[in-house]
Amino acid sequence: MPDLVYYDRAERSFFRKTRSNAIVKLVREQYLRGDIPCMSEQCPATPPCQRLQDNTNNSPKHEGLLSLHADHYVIPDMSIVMRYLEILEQEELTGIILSQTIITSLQQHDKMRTYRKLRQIISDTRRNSVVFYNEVFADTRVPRLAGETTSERDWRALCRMADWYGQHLGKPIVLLSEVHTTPTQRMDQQQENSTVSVRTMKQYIDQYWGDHALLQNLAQVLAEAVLEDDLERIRVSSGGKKLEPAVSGYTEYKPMEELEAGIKSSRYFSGTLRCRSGTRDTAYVNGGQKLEKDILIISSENINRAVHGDMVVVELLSENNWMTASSTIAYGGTTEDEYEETRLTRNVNLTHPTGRVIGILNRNWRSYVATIQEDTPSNGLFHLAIPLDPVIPKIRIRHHDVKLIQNQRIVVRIDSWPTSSQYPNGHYVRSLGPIHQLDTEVSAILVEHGISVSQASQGFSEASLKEMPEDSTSHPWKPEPNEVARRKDLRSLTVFSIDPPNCQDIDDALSVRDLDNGRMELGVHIADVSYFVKENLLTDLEARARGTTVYLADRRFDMLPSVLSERVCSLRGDVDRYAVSVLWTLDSKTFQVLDTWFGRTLIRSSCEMEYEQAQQLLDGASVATNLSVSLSQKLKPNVEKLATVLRAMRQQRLAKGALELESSSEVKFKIGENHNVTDIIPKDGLEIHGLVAEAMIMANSYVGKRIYDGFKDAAILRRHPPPNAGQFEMLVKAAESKGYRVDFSSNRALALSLERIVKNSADDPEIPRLMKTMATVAMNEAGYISSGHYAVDQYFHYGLALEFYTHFTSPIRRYADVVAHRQLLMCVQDDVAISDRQNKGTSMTEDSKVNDICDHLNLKSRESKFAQRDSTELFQSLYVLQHTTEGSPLIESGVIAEIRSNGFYVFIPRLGLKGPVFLIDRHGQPAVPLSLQSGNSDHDEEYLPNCTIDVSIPTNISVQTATLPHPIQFNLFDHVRVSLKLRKSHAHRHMVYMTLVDLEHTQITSVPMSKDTLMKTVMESSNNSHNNNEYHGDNIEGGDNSFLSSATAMSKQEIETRRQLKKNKKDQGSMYDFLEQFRKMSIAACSYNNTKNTD
Amino acid sequence: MSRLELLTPEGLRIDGRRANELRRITAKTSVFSKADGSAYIEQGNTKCLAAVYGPREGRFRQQMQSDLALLNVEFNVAPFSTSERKKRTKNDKRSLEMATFIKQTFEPVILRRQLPRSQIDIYLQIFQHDGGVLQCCINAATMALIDAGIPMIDYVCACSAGCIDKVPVLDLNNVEESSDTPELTVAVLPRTGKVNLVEMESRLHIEKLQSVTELASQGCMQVHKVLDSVIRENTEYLRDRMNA
Repeated sequence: MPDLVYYDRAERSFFRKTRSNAIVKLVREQYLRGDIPCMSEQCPATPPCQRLQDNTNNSPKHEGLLSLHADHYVIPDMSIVMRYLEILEQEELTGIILSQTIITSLQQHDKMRTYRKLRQIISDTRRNSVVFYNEVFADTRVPRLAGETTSERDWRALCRMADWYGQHLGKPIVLLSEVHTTPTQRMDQQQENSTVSVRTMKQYIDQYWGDHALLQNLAQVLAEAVLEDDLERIRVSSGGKKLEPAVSGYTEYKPMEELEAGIKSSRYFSGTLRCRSGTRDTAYVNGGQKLEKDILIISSENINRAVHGDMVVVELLSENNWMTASSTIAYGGTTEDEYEETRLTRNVNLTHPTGRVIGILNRNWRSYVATIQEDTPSNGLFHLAIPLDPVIPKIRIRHHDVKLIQNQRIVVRIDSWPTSSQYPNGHYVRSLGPIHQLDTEVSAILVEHGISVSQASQGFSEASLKEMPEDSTSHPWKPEPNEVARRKDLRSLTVFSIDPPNCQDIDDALSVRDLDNGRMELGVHIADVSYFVKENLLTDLEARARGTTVYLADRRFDMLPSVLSERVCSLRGDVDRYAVSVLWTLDSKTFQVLDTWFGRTLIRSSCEMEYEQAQQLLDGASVATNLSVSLSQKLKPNVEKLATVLRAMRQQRLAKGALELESSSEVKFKIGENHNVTDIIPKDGLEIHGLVAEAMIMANSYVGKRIYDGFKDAAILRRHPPPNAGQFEMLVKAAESKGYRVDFSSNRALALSLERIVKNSADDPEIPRLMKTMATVAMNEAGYISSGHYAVDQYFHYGLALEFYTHFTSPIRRYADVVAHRQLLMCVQDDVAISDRQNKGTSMTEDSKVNDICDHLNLKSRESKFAQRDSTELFQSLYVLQHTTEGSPLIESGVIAEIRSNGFYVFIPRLGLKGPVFLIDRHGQPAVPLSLQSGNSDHDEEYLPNCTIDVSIPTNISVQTATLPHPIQFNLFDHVRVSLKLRKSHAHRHMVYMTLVDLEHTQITSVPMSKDTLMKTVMESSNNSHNNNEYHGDNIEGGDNSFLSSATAMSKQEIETRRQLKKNKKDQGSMYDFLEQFRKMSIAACSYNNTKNTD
Repeated sequence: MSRLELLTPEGLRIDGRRANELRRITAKTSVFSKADGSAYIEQGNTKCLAAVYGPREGRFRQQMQSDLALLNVEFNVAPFSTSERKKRTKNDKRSLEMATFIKQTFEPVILRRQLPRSQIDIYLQIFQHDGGVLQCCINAATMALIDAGIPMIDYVCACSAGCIDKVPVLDLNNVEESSDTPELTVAVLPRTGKVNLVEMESRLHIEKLQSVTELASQGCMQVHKVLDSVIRENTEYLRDRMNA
């Protein structure tokens, strides 16, 4: 038990207004300590003062101490933190000492976001920045004097702290401040140690970073920027009178207390504001449990200066203003977040409450990629920048020479949004390059998705590369002898990897062999990344920050240095490699798992197989292409045995209710010279893909279970929450329109329903594919969790039907797997892992740390997914651009994937592309191409005159005109032929859109029927053939009447059933086309015949 | 109120303590001359006064037991103890419960069989409330009982501990208590280490229970050191007076 180490006790008292407006005095104790460490490597005390803390506190020590080599340390004050946070965030700045004075001040003024950002700087050990608790340190505490303002006292506190640091370390200390220029007179009037100097940000940058253009520029623009706080001050100083009139209905936000009281009393609602893509003037906020609906916020007055992503407070408008959400396809938008999109459009027919933003809890502004508006006059100081992301409003930026940044993608940030301004004020940060150049657009994608500069430049710091093992042609890497002795040696085992062609980073390999007495052993061997990347090494921190390798269409941004990812860790053929293996002992008949072994091994892969080759061996070929005869012969039995085992495993898992889902739009690009996209190939799934995946799923789930057993409250797991009913509405309706029933009561039921759809629509493989995509989109996202943060029954992985799941099999490209490796190795008492833990401590077993990592990784993997999607879109548009310029239109056949109120989305399987087809143009006029009637594709820019459009979401849209005998029906999953066009844009990426060329009528009739109804239909149609002809061209009503007349002997009751049937038909909307209407009629007649017979 | 960071990543709490540090304890005995024994204790900003009357003849005849001394505890919180003035009646449920806790804590410690047919009254008054009221009362009562010279088998030392962000922390103050931190109060007999009272009214993860309880009982030992030195000092002072 430690002795009491505080020197003295002080009290801090202050007054506070309570909710009932009473003023109370609060008294807080403050213990003054003597053991606050200076956190510098240069500490002159012996032992260094941070040691003192390590002895008393056994938490893992802070790694990023103030560097010994830095030539100065920086202490920012409040004015710097508020205005120049962005500069402090720049990675070049190191050695920042953050004072407790600032932290408390930020917390008191509800600047939690700023605080969190500062914390991020501190926790990034590469920045060598620390927090110093000057307020609780006996030597640096400054009590407030009578009549002194808090800011004066804070400044004195900072000066005192700077003095202390200067004396303690003898290093130049730079105090940064915008408001103060001299340190207050010191207690000891000596001036001979001028280690402390006061600088404004500009002076500081000029002095220390004179040649750094980016910092120079930032300092300048930030100095000019008008921040939210300035607005506040201006408003307060002008005594509540508005300096400038508010424009366009913007109003001031309500005071914070009122907002919080309102939220507590459920009068107001708070949530994250989301805008629908392309329609900036419609936003919505999740209404939470009380409303169970989204709150729509329509028009920019009501959005009231909030930006997509902000935490806002919303007041509901009166009920007669409530309305239904629009489900139009945005003109000129890109497909945004599909999850959000479907969330909103799913229950379109509901009336949504509407609201108005009356306050902001938290701004969530980030860096935005934008382009200066076209044809802006080149004189003038202020310019409008149009962000790439269509949900962000235009940003007013100040730049002295706009010509320099015209026609370029630039990075901008928002500073403030006063009521007097139509658009938010921001500032220019840097330029990415000329618009529509591939490299510019790719870096724009990276910036938009928050992928760090260091990852984008593929770089690793020199210090981090020094940590890496050496592997060159002259000195190839070899396993160390004592490691060889320690590991289980599996080099004699036949191990092989199966990967896509030209795969550099092979993280997994497989093995299978027979054991004696009717058992066999299945092995999954994963690259031992955690052996090389020890916790808290620079490489580890960098990899943690990156989170995942980002794969774009034409390039890849690695998580680990290439010496690891492509060489030392990669499980290449015919070389000894370290691995972490999972070995299952199976019963060779029932394939029951009898025993599982986890641990570090040494393997030698006999072959780097490609999927194609493995599939060939599996299909019976004795020799696979590009594989030697002996190797083929050696591997063939292994591959076959593996396939048998894994098929069995797959069946077991499917029986438990696992879903077989796929993402429909995975495509590969063939890229020729000069970034020419020569072709787009959909990724096709071979059986072997599924089998390898099965092995990985199995390894992941066993590891998940094992680490959960080892660390109940801190295991890194991957969970997939089950969906709720509302999420499947779209899918159910879509399936109904094709005559299927989807049961989503459990994952097993859903799997069965989907399986049925696959079986019954063998003639059209796109239908199940689209349905599966719809199901995938409807479901929740899977994510990493720390088991301590969730209840045990929430670990379940819905999609895979597994109780425990984690990511373990790709440590080269995912950081989560590295964490899982470390946890697993600690669980199985691996010597190296245990000794590492003892020597350096680990945070991999602390729930809060693991949870932080999980949150970060979830964010990173989502962003990387979106980046990947954006790059796919970029390349698709490039493909369309390159293939339409030759004069001939690019005509493709596709499937209607989604019906919206002004058109529909068409999915083109060949290109993996989903694009909108508008039937109503942006002025609300119907625009149905003439080509539908004429069948001539040249007419797709001319429109049918006088047509009316009737939409029933989500399954059908019909076009009626005077010139056509009957309406043209567009049903969900109909096949259409479209012409791909590119909408060129200055401020955005080019967007692919489509115009309708033709309906492929042949597919419409493929309505599934059960066997007996089919027979009845045939029977009935032969009976009533003369009637049928009438039905064809007629509407339902007419058909019904003529049927009535033909069936004269009908009882009243039967007329009633007929009515019922008709009503049903109406309820379901016009989702059946003519043939289907006819079919129903004949079934009805059939049932009528049957009832007559039974009578 | 803004969301305060109760425990910084550097391991410091709002008032500058580390997770395993107690607040400052100052204590004094024999503060009243009229009472048989009295004590005043400050644990941080929580201030408590205890007065013990007895053993004396029982006032409640009906409850009187022929072989045991009756223990009567009254607990009261001054209306001015918190920042917002709030009057609590004597028969407030919360106060009665608190009194019962204290009574049950001391019943097995006081050698009641030595004092049959008598009554011991303990009056507890909180003057300033800054968290950890129960522990403060128990510590004050122990001191006052010793001051009154009532036979006991040992000190009873109490201490609270809680859990912030899964880190066990000792001796919560009011800010920490009022932000939904689970709080566990433990009273132990320091010589034997036997536990006399464990009280918790909030939810705490079972995995954390052991470490929190351990920390609290370590805290009790520390409290014991302080109380013991105060008692010894006081006794020495009395001895010097006698000799003088």
